[in-house]
Amino acid sequence: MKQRYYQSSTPLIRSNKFTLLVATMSVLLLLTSFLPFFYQGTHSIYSPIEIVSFQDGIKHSMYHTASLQNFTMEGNVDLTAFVVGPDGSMTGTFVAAGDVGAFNTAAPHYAECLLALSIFRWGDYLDVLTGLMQVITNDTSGSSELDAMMGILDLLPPNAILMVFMGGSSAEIQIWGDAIHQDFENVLGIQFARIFGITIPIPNMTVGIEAYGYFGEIGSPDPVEIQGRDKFQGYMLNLGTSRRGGTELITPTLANDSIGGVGIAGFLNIGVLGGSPSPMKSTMQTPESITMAAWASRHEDKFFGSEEQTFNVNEFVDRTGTFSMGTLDGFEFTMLFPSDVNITSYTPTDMYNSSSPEGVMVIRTTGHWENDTTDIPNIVVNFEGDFPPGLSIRKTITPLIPVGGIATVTIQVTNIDPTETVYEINVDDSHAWDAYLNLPHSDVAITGSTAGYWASIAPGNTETFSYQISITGEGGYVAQRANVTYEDDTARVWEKTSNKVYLTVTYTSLLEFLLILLQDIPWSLPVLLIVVLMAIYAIIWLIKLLLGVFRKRPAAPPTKTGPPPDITPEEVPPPPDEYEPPAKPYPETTCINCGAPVPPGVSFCPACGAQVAED
Amino acid sequence: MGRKLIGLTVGFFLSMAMAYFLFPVSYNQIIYWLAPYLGHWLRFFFMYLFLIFGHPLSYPTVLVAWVVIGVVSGLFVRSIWGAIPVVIFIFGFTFLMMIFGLVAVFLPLILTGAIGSIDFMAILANIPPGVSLFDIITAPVIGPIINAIIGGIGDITGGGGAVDPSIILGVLQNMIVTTIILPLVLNFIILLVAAIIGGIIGRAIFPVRD
Repeated sequence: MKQRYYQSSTPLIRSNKFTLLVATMSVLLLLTSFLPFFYQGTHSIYSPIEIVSFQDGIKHSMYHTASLQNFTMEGNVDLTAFVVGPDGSMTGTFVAAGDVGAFNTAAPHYAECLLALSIFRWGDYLDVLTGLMQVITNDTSGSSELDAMMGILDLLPPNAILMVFMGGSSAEIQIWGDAIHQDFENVLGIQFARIFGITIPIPNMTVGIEAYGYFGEIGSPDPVEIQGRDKFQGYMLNLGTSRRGGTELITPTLANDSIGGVGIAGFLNIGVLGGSPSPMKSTMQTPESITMAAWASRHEDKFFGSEEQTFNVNEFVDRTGTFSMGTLDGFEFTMLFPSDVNITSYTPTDMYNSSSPEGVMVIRTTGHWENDTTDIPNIVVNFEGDFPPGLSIRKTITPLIPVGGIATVTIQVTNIDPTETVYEINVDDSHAWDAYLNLPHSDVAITGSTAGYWASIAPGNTETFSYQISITGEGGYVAQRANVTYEDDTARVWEKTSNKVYLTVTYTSLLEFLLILLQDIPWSLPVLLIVVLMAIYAIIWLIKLLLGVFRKRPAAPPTKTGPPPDITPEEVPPPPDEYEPPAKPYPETTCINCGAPVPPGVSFCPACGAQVAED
Repeated sequence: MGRKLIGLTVGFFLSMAMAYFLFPVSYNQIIYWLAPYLGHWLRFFFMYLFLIFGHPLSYPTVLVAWVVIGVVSGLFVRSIWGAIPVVIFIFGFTFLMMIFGLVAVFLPLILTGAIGSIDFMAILANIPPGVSLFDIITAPVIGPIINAIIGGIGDITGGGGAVDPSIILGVLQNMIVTTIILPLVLNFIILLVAAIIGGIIGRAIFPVRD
């Protein structure tokens, strides 16, 4: 008979199935740590086509950052009081006026303004401004909304262009400023990708802020319902919804079939065409040919449909431009051009309005509404200006790299002017990463030259140079614009800037994340670590104490005499002759390990788990 | 104790994996924005912040995370009364990790004086695409707090009237209860219940011979 002098009291490790399960789970956990960034990676990668994020299983667009704010304004509001100054800056006030556009002034009005402040990336700070706008407008007392709006206007870039669209019962404020093409391409890509499944590259575009005002009539038996309000939420450009017709205020019975809208793309193009006033001209992007689609939405029986309108813009060819827009049903609109843009011809001829705000030229059509039989004919505006020869500078970068990886920055300079050669082209990108130098948690290493020079670039030709950058810290990095200076054929110096580029540095796996964390543990704080460990230790003991884990088991009786387990059989001394086994020191139904009684037929001791059956 | 140790170990790693892989995207945007300045531990802090204070009824991922952690730990422990202290410790560990992450983010910056050299205007001027205040005010845990503060400011000022301390206290109390204590308690209860269920299931599948 083989005696067992020691046996684990834990049946856990004797369970083969459970051991297998533990091993399997361990392997799975280990493999999990090596898995790629499958969850975050597919949702947070910066893509120029469509940015989609998932949160809690719900699909979101990372760019649909519109903030929606409802508020009420008492009295009439004149939204046309904005003035664009000669330097491009805008000032103005909301004035309580008697008449606003085509309003029926006999009736009191209230304005339920939906400030669909699409949080664009305009410059570097419009996000913050619009966020503040939302914050401020949470206070509905007084006219803080207007003050906030004005505050934003005061902070607009000087090359911004304001457009005000007035209707019988609606108003739109569109403020456009220079922005970089990549931003817009991305945000617009969402729209196109969703609707058409494609992306239309737009070389240069102007984006901005827009506000929608909808006016209704107090006491109307059928209050004006803001149709399509949900469409405002989350869409950057609201291409599918724009403005409501005015007849509903005048004749409420027509409210449900009088509403239409036009995409803002047409106006957007004008903003591009207008360029900027002289002081900012040197930093404006020279637009290239733009082809984009917009669509007008109609409201019929409370349903918004869509029509597609295509705007083809080819401009800045030999420093002249043409804007054309197809027939639009029943919409008035206003175009503001910088004063240094010379409008040479336009159709229809009755839409030019020389009594414009200071510093701008205005082209304004009269309002037509859907129930009106008159449509606005094709609009064509030819203009010319003292624009620089077309030189395009475009910066691209590897959009996503792992921590410590290498991204390649490529700067491409193209002479897009059809006739004129440019000279002495100097590109400087040395300050693109200044904001991230000497950071405490990441190192930025640039390999290669950040400057480029070419003596001349002929029309249609392209020059390129690139350098590499490596960043050791996680994050989203914004590379500032590259500058390019060049001369035209009269040795006049022009300057332009490129787009910004964005680099996302991220982890590729949980294991990499943990390893980097280990390297970045604040070892300079040993006291902190000790305190934390002591706290953990104290909590363990507290939990054990509270839950009685330290209950003492009844002392086991001494084990049966015999050789200790660390003595080999050869070393076992022979039993003395006078040795006689004790006469059943324990009853047969007693565990030989602990002495506890064992019921007949049970193989394991219920007290200590030791096997009591003979092998 | 072997079962409990295994349950503890699995729970620790599971909580870390859950916090990492169920990371909310809105936090990702914030981290992409601020991590270059605040370091790697920011993600670590937000991981556990979301797990601890994310409202389980508003963010199903939090609910799922704690249920999985509790059930799996209970399965390994295979005992109701054994699983409870295990998950209590796991919860405490998670909380400690969050505190540690917070300290690891800011204390080195404070002690080394680097926080004084951070150019906040540069931070504002270099917002990566996709990041906006909208992300922040709608982010889990942070968003409700900010909204509560904003709403509280509106209530406190009351359109320009005198500030009433009782309103301030009420706003603070409401914010603390609804956005901090309530999710914390709910998550803890969910973890406990899940652990008990896991213990029962584990005991049924792999009976403990005692």
